[in-house]
Amino acid sequence: MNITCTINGKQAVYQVSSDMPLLDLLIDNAHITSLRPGCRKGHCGSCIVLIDDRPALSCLVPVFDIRGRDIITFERFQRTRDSTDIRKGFEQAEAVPCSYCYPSKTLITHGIISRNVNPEPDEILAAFALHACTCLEPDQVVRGVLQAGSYRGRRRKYARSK
Amino acid sequence: MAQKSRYISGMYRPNMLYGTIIRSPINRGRITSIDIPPMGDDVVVVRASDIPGSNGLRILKETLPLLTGETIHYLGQPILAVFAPTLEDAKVHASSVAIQFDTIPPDMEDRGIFTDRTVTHGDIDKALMDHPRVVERSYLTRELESSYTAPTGALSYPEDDRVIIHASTQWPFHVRDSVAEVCGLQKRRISVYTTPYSPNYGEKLVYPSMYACLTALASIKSGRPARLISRFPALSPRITVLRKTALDESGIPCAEDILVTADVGAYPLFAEEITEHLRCGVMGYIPLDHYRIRVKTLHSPHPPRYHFDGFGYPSALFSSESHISEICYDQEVNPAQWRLNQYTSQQLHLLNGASMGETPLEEVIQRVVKESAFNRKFAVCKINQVQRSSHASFRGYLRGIGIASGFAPNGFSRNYPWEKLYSVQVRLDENNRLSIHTSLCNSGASYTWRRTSSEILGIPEENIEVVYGGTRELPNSGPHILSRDISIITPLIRRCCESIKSQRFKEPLPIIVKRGFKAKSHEPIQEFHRFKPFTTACWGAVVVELEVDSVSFMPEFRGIWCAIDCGRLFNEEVLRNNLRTKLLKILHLAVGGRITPDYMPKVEIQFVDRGSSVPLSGSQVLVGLFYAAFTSALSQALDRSITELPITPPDILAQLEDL
Repeated sequence: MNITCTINGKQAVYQVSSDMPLLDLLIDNAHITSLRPGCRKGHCGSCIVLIDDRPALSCLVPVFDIRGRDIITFERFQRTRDSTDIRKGFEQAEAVPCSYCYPSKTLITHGIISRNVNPEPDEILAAFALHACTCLEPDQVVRGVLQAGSYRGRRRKYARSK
Repeated sequence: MAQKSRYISGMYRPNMLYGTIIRSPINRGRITSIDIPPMGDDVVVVRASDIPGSNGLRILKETLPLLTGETIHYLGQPILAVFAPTLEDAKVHASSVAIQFDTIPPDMEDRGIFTDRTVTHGDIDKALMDHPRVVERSYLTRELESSYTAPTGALSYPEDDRVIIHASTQWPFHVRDSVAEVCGLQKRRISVYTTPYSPNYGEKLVYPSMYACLTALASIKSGRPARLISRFPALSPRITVLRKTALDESGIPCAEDILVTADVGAYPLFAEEITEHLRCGVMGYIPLDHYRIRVKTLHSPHPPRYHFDGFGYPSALFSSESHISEICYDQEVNPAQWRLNQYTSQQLHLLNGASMGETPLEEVIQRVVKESAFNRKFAVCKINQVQRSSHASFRGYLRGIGIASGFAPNGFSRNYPWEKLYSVQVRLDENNRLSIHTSLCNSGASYTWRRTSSEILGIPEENIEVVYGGTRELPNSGPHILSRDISIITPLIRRCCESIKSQRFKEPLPIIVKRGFKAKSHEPIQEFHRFKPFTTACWGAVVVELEVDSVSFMPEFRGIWCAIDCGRLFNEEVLRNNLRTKLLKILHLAVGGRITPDYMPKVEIQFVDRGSSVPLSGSQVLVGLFYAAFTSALSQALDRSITELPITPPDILAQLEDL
């Protein structure tokens, strides 16, 4: 079937089978390199993308479900100011994820702080339960997300004041 | 800061073909026919009959078939590979291939023994008869699957008269040699580059060579780049250790009979080395006059087992340390005090009498005991256990604390067949820049190498580079397993730097020095008594405190305390983070489930820096000791002998229902 969607700001049409996971479409057809096809069962969290600005496990999303939707991967996201907030936040908290999970953890963080720039630790840990990589301690994750949220909040406030 | 690494799943070439493997759906059988329908010009099928060279990967003395010729030996054995312009096309074409089998009934399966080594000293049967107190336990480590890892795969493409291969491999020179042998090419025409493979459990030692051979065959056949990524499950061997220990009047072991069996699957990869690691791991630290150690590696119709964290050594160490704890619980003795009483001697000896010299064992035990308040907590848990027994209707708090201590080797054993000289090369150029050339450059050890080189030569670290390259540019430094990058390669780099230091200002630049590692002697098996099988030993101690949740029956860790002898500490933060990550991963395996951030326990790691010239990696010792301390703590919490891993909440519930 033909799937029309927007990937990283570019609208494209792909002729693929309808039950193909979005992960495969992104890797094999759209040549996205930031995704790690880990477990393919929704356990490892290495394949997270933003669908309509919300994090989703691309291995569990069939392509028929993405028709007309906006998909952002880390390639595009890392060029945004939102990404800079997160990078600076984690650096400030001295909690830098490993290169394997960095893209996914950045997008999970974006998912949290785009809703609430000052989330509760339980909310952060529950969201990070999507990811199985244990390169960061829980308190590092919490510190990093809160710091990123603080940068995001300040930037929003500044933008509103202008 | 991240995302610079290009994993194999993120590598593309124009016009690339995507591959998929058709694997055997049965354990044992014979292929009677393979029917491949016409597939078009842009589809490449690689069959056993297409292989111009040898249809097998050589691993030391053993050979693993690449593609099934006629007989199927294990479930999931590759039969053929299909490459097409998209992965979806490749899968569709693969599904159209019809393969007929004759299944060999289970009773005809040949369950044989690959290796069977027994060492005996004294009269063990008489000693076991003579002593009335004998503790007998069986310890089992089931097959553990390394999940959530970066994918395993390879990408090959022709370039001029060469074949370029990118593979997520721990052993690039094995990939090169395998491709040369399978494709009938000269080694100089093949260049292998390592892509990142994180995390590393040893499963990327052999399979990447297999995938590289298939992609190279497809690439040569089609003239196009070919990539193959597979997530075939990699399981560790199932290891059973049966121990019978005779105790003297004071409760000290005086004779021991140990039988180790390891199911290594259909093809033994590194069977000799597994045997040596297992044999070393089951030896305790009390020299005995009477002992028998028998290690068998068994054949079964399962896929070849990979070399999960040290060739079975952690499973063997788990049995040794859990057994000590079981002996202590039988005698109602504090296991930490028992260890401190036994291991205080300056000259520690192994079960076979081999001297370990001065060891930090006492120090690491003292540290974890103090930090964890082991003695107080052990007493509290013991009281709780006694009270629970006398009021059987109340389970109370299911709490326990366990300790384990011991060593693990870094690198191969002395019995490893050192046919090849594994080496590194260091170059000092005219601009006072130092470059380190080793095929293990993918590791995180480069910080240690730069630091140690800087200390010896007085060159700023920013002027020292660890060179990344292919097999044509780099020396063969051997496989990246058993923490060889830290404990074997670092001393070689030190030797190179010391040689450069002595030549510097006397010889013209550039100065190039190459140093290799080869075991000094090969000791025959008959001389096992007093023989130390490894050159390096990393000592450690671990305490685990846990409580079993009375609703979910999940062990909840209240704390994990570790003390590790690191030989020489170069970067505490990096090492601590590596060990912590390792610990959390094995914790996930030990409880047979998934560890989420809200479940992660408190982990405290201390290092003993003995100031030696050689740094040591604590990852192997940490795995074995954690398993032992965890099961000891769980045994105390449940008041049952827990001797099997992994242990899941249903297993714990079954144990509680038995109470």
